[in-house]
Amino acid sequence: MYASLIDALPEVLSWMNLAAVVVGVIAGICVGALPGLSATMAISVLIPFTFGMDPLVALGMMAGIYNGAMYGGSIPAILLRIPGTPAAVATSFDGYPMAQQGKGGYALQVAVVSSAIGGVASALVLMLLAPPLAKVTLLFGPAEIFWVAVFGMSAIVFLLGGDILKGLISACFGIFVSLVGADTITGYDRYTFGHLELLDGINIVVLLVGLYALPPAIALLEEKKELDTSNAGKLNTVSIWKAIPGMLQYWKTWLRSSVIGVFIGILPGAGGSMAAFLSYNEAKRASRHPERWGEGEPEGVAAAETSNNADTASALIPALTLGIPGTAVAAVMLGGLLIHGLQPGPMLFRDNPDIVFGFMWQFLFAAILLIALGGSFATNSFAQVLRLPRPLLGAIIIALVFVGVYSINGRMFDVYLMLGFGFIGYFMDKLKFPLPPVVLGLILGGFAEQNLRLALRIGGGDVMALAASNTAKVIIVLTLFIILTPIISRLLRMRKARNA
Amino acid sequence: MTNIDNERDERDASTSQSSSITSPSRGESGETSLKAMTPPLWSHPDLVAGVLIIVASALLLTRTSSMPFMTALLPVTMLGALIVLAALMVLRALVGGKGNRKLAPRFPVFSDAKAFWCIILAISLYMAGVATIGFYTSTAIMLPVVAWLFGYRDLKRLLLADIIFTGGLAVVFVVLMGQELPAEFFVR
Repeated sequence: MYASLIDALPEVLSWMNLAAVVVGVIAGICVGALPGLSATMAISVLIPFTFGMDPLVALGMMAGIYNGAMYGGSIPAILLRIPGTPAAVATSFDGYPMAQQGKGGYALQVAVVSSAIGGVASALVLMLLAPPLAKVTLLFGPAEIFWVAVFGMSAIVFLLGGDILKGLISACFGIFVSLVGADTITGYDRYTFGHLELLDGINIVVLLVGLYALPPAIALLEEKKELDTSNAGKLNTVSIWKAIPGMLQYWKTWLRSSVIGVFIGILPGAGGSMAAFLSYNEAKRASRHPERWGEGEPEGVAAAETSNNADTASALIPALTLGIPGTAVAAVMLGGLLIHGLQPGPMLFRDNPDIVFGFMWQFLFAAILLIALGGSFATNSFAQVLRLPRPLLGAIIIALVFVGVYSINGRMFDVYLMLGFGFIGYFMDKLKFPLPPVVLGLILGGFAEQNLRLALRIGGGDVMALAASNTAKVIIVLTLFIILTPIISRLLRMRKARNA
Repeated sequence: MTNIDNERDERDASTSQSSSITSPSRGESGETSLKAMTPPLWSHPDLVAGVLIIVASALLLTRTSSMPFMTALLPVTMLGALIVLAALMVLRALVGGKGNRKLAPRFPVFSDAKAFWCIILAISLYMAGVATIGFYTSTAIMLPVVAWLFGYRDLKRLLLADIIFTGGLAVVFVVLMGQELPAEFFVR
C-alpha cells in the first residue's frame, strides 16, 4: 500500500494538478467566507464542469475547495461573528472578541495555521490509516451513533457554561426544528403546515444565516456610533511565517483537536460542526485559564479550527474504503468519483491506486497551501471589510445573506424562513439564550432520532438494546460525566462559599 | 455565549438594577420613587419569553395527536421538555423578580426600538422588492438607501460601493456560477 502511495506522488506534482489544488483552495476560501455558500454547494456546482477533465485535476479542485471552505468560514466568524459555515460557529466564540480587541489579524493567522495543521493531520490519517480506521466505523451501529449525538448535545449545553436552563431550551428548540418535514421512516409530515418546501426539513444554512447573520446586521444598523473607520482594516499583523513560532505554544490543543476532528470525521453523519464544538469544550476544560475563554482566547480559535479541518479528509475514510458517505460533502465527492468511473469501496484501492492515493496527496497539499494562500491573500483581502462604515456593512450583509440563502434551492420561501429565524435569533441573543445549542440541535436532532428509532427497531422495541454494546456503555458514561461535572462543581463551590 | 459573558452580563444587569433601586433617598419619597422606577414583574423578558414558549409548545403539541406513535415520540418529548423548562424559567423570573434579582436578571431587549422596527421594515421591503422588481435592481436601490438612512452620508462613496458590490455579485453569481436569482422586471 505504501509503495502505491509513493508511486502516486509524481503525477500529483504535475503543474496542472497543482494548479487545480491552488484554484480549489482560493475558490473554497471565497465560498466559505460567504455566509450561506458551502463546500457541498461549490463542489456540486463544480462536478458537471469536471466531466471532461482528468480525474486528478477534478479531484484536486474538490480537495482544495473542501479545505479552503472550512477555513474560509472562519473569516466572517472572526471579523463579524457571522460563521461562513456551520463548522465555524465555535470559531466565533473567541475569534470575534479578539477582532473587537484589535487582534483580528492574529485571530485569522491562528485560524489559518490551525486549519492547515488539522488538514495535514487528517490527510496523513487518510493516507496511512484509512483501512484500519474504516473498521472503527463498523463498531458504531445506530444505538452508538444515537449516544454520540446525545453526547455532542450534552457537551455543548453543559460545558459551554452560562445559563443551563436557557441552554437546554435552546437545544430543545434546535432539536424540534430538526423534526420539521416528512418523517424519514413513516413518511408522515410533521409541522409542514401544508408547505411542500418544508417536506425535506429546514436547511441548516437557512437557520444558521438567520440566527447568526441577521442579528449582527441589525446591530450594525441600530448602533449609531463611531463612523470613523480610519484604523479599521489595518490588521497590525506580522508576516504569517514570523507569527508561526509564537503559536507553537498551542501544540497540545492542535494535537488534541486533530484527534477529536479525525475521530468525529470517520463517524457517519457527525461532521465538522460537532468536531469543532467538542474540541473547543475539551480545550477549555484542559486550559489553565478557562475564565479567559469567550473573551478572546486564541487557543479557542486554534481548537475549533484545527478540528473542523481535521474532519475533512477523515470524513472520506468510510466513503472511500466502504463506499459509505458519512457527510453531505463526502456524498458529493463520491458522486465526483463516480462520474470519473471510480467505484468507491475496498476495490478502489486495488483498481485505481494512482488516483485514490493521488487524491490523498492532494488533500495534504491543499492543507499546506492554506497557509500560503489563506495567510496572505485571503486574510488581508477579507479584513478590508472592517474598513467599511457600519451602515454600509449592515446593508451589504443583508444582501449577502439573501443571495446565500436564495441560492440553496432557488426559492423565496427559504428567505422568508431565514427572516423568521433572524427575528428569533435577535431576541434569543438579547435575552441571553445561547445560540450554539440551537445549531447543534438541528444538526444532531434528526440524526439522533433516526438512529434511535433504528436501534429500537433492531432491538425489537427493547429500550435496553440502546445500551447493549460496550461502545454504547462507554459513551453513556462519558455523557453522564459531561452532565454531572459542572453540576457537582457548582454544588461544591456553593458549599465552599457557605462554609467560608 | 460563555460562562464569563453571562456572569458579567448578569453582574451588569443586577448592578444597574440595584443602583436604580437604591439610588432614591430613603423614606417615603424614596419608596415612591422605588415603586415608580421598578418595572412591573409581568414585563420581565424571561417571563414573557417563557409564557410565549409554553403557549407555542402547547399549540404545537396538539398537532401530535394525529401522528403515529413513533413519529410523535421525539416531537412530544421535545415540546414537553420545552414546556417544563419554560415553566421553570417563568418560576425563576417570578421568584427572582420579587427577591433575588441575580437569579433572573433583566436584559434590555432593544437598544433602539424605533431603529429596530425601521430595519425590519427595510428588510421586508427589500425582500418584497426582490420578489417583484428583481434581485440586482432591489439590491442597487437598497444598499445606498439603507446606508444613507442609518447614518452614512458620503454619497460618492456610497454609489461607488453600490456599483462594486452589486456588480461583483453579478460577476460571481451570473458569470462564474450561473446561479439564477429572482429576475429583473425589465427582462421578464
